[in-house]
Amino acid sequence: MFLFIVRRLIASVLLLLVASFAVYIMMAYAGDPLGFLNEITNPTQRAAIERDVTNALNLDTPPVLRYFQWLGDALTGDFGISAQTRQSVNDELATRIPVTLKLVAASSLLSIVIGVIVGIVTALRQYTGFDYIVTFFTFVFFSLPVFWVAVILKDVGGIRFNDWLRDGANISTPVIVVLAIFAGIVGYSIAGGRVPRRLVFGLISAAVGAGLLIYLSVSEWFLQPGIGLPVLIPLAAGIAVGVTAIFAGIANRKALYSALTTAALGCVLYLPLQSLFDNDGMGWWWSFLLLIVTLVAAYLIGMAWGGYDKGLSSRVSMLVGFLVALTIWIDRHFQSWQEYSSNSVIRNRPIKTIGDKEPRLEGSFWVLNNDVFSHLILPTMALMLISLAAYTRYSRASMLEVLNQDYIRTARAKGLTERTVVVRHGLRNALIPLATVIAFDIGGLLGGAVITETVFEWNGMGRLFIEGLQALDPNPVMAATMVVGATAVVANILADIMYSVLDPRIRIHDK
Amino acid sequence: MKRRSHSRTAAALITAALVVSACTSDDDGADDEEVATSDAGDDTTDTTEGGDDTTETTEGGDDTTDTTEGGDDTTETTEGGDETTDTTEAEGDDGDTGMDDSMVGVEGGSGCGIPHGPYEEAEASGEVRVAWNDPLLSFNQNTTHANATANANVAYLMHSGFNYYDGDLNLVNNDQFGTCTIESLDPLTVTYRINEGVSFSDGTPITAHDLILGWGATSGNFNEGGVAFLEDGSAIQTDEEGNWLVLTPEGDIVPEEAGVHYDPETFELFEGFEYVPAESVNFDAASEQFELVTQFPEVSEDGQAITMVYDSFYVDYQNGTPFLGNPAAHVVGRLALGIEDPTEAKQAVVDAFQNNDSEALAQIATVFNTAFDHDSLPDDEGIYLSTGMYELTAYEERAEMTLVANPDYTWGPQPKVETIIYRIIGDPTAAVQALANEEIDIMQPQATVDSVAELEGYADRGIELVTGDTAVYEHVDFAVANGGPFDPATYGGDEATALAVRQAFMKVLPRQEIIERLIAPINPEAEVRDSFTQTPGAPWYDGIVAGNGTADYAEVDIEGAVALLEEAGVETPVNVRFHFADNNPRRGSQYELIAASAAEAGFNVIDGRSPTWGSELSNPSIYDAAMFGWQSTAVAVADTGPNFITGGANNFYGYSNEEIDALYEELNGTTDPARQEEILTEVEATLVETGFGLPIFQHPGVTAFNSNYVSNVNPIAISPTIFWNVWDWEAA
Repeated sequence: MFLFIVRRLIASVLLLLVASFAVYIMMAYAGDPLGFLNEITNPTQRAAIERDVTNALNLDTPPVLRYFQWLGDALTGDFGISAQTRQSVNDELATRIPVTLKLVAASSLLSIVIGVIVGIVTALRQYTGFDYIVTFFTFVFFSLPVFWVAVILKDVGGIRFNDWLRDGANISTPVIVVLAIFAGIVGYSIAGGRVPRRLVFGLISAAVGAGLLIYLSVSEWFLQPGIGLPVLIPLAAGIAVGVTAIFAGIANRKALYSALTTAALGCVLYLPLQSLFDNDGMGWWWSFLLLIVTLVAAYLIGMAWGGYDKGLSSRVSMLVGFLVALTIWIDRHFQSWQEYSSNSVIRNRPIKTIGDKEPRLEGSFWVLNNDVFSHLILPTMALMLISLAAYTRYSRASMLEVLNQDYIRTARAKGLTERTVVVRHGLRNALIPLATVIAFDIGGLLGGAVITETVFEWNGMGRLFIEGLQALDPNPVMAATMVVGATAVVANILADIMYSVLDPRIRIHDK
Repeated sequence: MKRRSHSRTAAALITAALVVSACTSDDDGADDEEVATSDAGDDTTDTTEGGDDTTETTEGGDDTTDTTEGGDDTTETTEGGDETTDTTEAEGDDGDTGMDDSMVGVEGGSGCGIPHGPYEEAEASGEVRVAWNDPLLSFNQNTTHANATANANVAYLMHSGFNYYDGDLNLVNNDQFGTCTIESLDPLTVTYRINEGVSFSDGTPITAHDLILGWGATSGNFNEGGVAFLEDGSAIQTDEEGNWLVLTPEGDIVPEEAGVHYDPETFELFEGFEYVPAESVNFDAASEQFELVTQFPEVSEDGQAITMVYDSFYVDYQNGTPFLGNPAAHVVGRLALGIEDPTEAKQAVVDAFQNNDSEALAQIATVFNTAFDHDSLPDDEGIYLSTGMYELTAYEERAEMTLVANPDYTWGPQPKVETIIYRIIGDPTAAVQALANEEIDIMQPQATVDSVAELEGYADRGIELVTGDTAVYEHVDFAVANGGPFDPATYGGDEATALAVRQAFMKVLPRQEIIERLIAPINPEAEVRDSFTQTPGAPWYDGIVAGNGTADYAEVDIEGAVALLEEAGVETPVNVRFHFADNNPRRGSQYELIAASAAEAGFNVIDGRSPTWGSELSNPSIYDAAMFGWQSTAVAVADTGPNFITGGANNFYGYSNEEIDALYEELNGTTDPARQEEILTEVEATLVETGFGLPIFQHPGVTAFNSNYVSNVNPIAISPTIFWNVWDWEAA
C-alpha cells in the first residue's frame, strides 16, 4: 500500500512537471507579457517596470531555461510576481483559493449526495415515470451552457425569488396543486409493489406535499424559516427510523433503539445548545468540536446498546447523530435568517447574484454564514446542474450493472431481504466506480469555475487564471494551473486508495 | 434664462479634443478603458494618447442636451439656490444666479471657471451603490499610466478641486476651496489660492506646498531628458536631442558625441567613462499647460497661494489647476525623503523643487509614479487621504469600495448621501441583473438596443433610464493623397475634379437615416451632428453650424451627386474603399446604409472593415474613406487642431490647407472668446468647402438607476459622467 502510494505520487509529480512545462512554454510563445508597457508614456518608468518585470520573470532567458528557473522558485513555494500588477502571486492565491474552494466544495458535495441518491433510486425503479423524468432533466441540464444557465438562474432564482419573498412568500393554490400532483407521481413511481400499494403511496406523497406547502405558505416560512423543537422531535424520530430501516432493518431492535436514543438525546440538548450557540466565540472550530462530541457520544450509545452487531448499531447511531446535529445547526441559521435578511446591506433580498460575500456585513457567525449561503446558492446550482447529470447517470448505470450480477441473484436466492440485497450487496459495489468519476469531476468543476466565477463576479482562482491568460501574464496562469493540477492529481490518488478500501477484490500490492 | 454664450470663458467652450476612440464599443462610456487598451499598441494613437480614451479627466465635453433632457434642471437649481425654472432643452441654463461669469477670463477675474459662491448646507444620510466595470488601480490619477476613468471617478468622490464641470458643462470654480485670480493676461499670470481651513483627512492643512508639488510633478520641467536603452536592456540618460550622456572620469556629464569616449569599432566606452543610468527624475505626468510655466512659482507670504507666470499664452489655461488631490506633499515627503513631520516633509518637497535637487526629486518622482498604485486598501493611510466629500474606509480587493462622507469637509458642495458603495462588476449582463436584484443602484450599461430593452423591462421595479450622448462622435473623412478617387493626383492633379467627387460622396451620406435607424432606438433625442469642433448643445454649436455650410448636406441628394460627378467627367462606378472597425455591429449597419445610398449615385463602396483598423488609419494607401469615432477629451478650444492642420497628429489623410493652419495658429494666441468662435466657424466652413469629410452623430450613452434607492442622477457626457453631481444624489 505504502509503496503504491509512493509510486503514484512520483507518477503524479512527473505528470505535473510535464503539464507545467507544456503550459509554461505555450504561455511563453503566446505573446509578450510586457505588452501593457505601451500604455505608459513615461520612459523612465517604462524602463523601470520593464527592467523589474524582466528580472523577476527572467524574460531575458529563453523560455525552456526560464521554465527551470520558474520551477526552482515554484518548488520553494514562490510563484513569483504578476507582470501586470507586480504583486506577489502567492498573496493572490492566498485570498483566491478559499473563494474557489468554497464554491467547488459546496457544489461537489451537493451534486455527489443528490446525484448518487437520485441515480440509485432511478436504477431501482428503472423505466418508471420517475426514471424518465430524471433522465430527461439531467440531459437537458447537462447540455446547457453554464453562462446561459447562470443568467436564467439569476433571473428566476435571484430576482424573481427575491420579489416573491418581498411579496409575502405566499404559494398560490395552483402552484400547490401542481406540485402536489408532481409529488404524487414521484411517490407513485418510487413506491414498489402492486398498483394499489403504489396508489396509496402516491396519494400520501401528494397529501404530504400539499400539506407541507400550505404550511410553508401560511406560516410565511420562507420569510422566517425555522425548524424549532416541535418539528425537530418528529423529524429526529423519522431520521432515526429511516436510517435504521435502510442500513440495519427495522427488525434490528438494538440498532433502532440506539438510533432513537441518539435522536432523543439530540432533542433534549436542543435548548441548552441554543445558549451555547449564542456565545460570541461560536465559529467553525466550535461547530467542528461539537460534531466530534456528537459522533463520539453516538458511537458510545450504539456500543452501550450492545447486541450481536454493536458495530452496526454504532454506525447507524453515528449517522443519526450527524443528521440530527446538522438539523439543529441549520435550525440555528434559520433563526438568524430574519436578522440577516432585514439588514440594511441585504435590503430584504437575500439571494445574491454577484460576489462571494458582502464585505460590509457585520453580525454573528450565523448571520455571516447565511450571507455566505445566500451568495453561494446560485453559482453552486449553476455548477451543480452540470455535474449532477454525470453522477446520476453513472450511479444509475453502475447500480443496474451490479443488480444484474450473479451474486445478487445468489443473495436473493438465499432469502435475504430486498433491503439487505440492495444496501449491503448492491449499493456498496455500485459506489466503487463512482470514486473515479468523483476524481475526474473535481478537475472538471475547477475548470467550470472559471466561467462561473466570471459570471457571478467571484474573485477566485478561475478569474486569476483567465485574467492572467488574457494579459499573457505567465505567473498567475502557472500558479492557477499548478493548484488545479495538484488538486486533480491528489483527487485521483485518493480515488485509487478508495478503490481498495471499498472493493475487497482489488488488492493493492506493494510490488 | 438665456445662455450668455459670448461672455463665457474660453474654457467653458466645448470642442472635441481628439483621440482615436477606438470605438470598439464606445457607445458606452463605461467601456472606454477597453478601447484604450486595444489602441495602446498603435502608432497613430500614441501621439494623441496622452489624454486618451482612458483619460476622461478633462474629457471632451459635450452635450448638455442629454443631461438637461434626461434629468431635470432642478438639480442645479437646488444646488445653487437658484430660482431658475426654465428647462430650455438643448440650451440648458447657465446654472446659477449666484454665479457670475462676467469676471471669468479677464484680468483680476477667475482663472479656473465661474466662481460658485457658498454651497447649501446638507445632511448626509443613507447609502447608494454604484457599479463600475473597472477597479481602481491607483490613488494617484495624475500619472499618465493611472489616467483611467475608474481612478478618476474615485478621485472625484474623494477630492476637492479648484473646478469641475456642471450639468451644462460650465466650468465652475469651487471658491469655497480656493480661487484662481488672473493677475495678468500678458504674460498670463494666475494666482492659485487655497482657502484657510481646507485640509487633508489626516488634519494636515492643504497649502501652497501641495500646489508646488502639483505644478512640479505635472509640468515635466523637472524631468531630466529622455532615456535610451543599451543592448543589455539597461536604461540610460539622454539629453534633449536624444544624445546618450556619458559620465567622464572627472565626473562631468557630457553627450557621447561631444568627445570621443568610445572605441569606434566596438562602440565600447573607454575605461573610466560610463553611461549615465536613467535613475533620474522622471515624473510620469505631462501637462501641456504647466510645461509653459518654467519659472518657479512665487509662494505667497501666508503660504496658501502660488502665482504662476506662463512663458506663453495657453488658450485652454482655465482647465488645469495645480492641485492634484492625491498625492499630498507631506505624504510624498515622508515616503520619498523619510521626514515624519508633515510641515517639514512638505517643505522638503518644495525645497527639492526649488533647488532642483536631482537626488531628492528622483525619489519624489518614484514615489509619485508608483507608491500610490494599489488595488486594495493600503496599510498606509497617507496613500488614500481625502480632501473632499468622501473618505475611503474599505476596499475589498478589486471588488468593492466603501466611501463615507468626510465629517470635516465644509469647503464645497455638501453631499446628501452618507455612504457610497463603489462596486466593481466587469460583466455587463451581471451588472444589469444586479441592478434588477437591487444589489446596485446606479450603473452605465452598454448602450445597445438589447441592453436598453432589457432595462426598460425592469421599469416596474423602479429602474429608470437616462439616455443621452457620450463624448464620442462618429464621422467620415476622405484620404486625399493616396492616389484614390478623392485624390487630385488621380485626375492628373485636377483639384476641382477631386473636390467634386468628395462633395458628391458627402451628398449621398444618409446621415439622417443612420440616426433614425441606428441611434434613435437607444437615444430618442439623437440628432445629426453638424459641427467638426462643437457637440450639439454646446454653446457655440448653433452659431458655428449656421456658418459652416453643413446645411448643404442636410439631406441626401442623389441627383446633385450624380450631376456633380457628370460635370466633373468622372467615370462611374467610382470605387471607394471604406475603412472601419470590425468589432462593432452597428458600424457594419452604418456601412450598409452608406453603401446602399452611395450606390444610387454611382459609388461602389467597398467593405473595408478591419479588426486592426486603428493601427491602419495612418496608412491611407489601403483606404479612401474612413469612418470612426473621435472622443472629446477636454472641454477646450484649440485641441481640434491636430485633426485638420497640415501634418497634424490626427490628420492621417494628407489633408493640407494653409488657411486652416493659419487659423489654428491665430486661435492659440486668442484670448477673446468671440474671436475664438469666429475662428472656429471659419475653420469649419473651410473644412466643408474643401470637402474634408462630415461628422455624423454623437454616440449614445445610457445610465440606469433604481429610483427607489436614489434620486437626482443626472449624468454629463464627460468624465466623471454619473458622478459629477454626486452631491445632489439622495438616498431613499
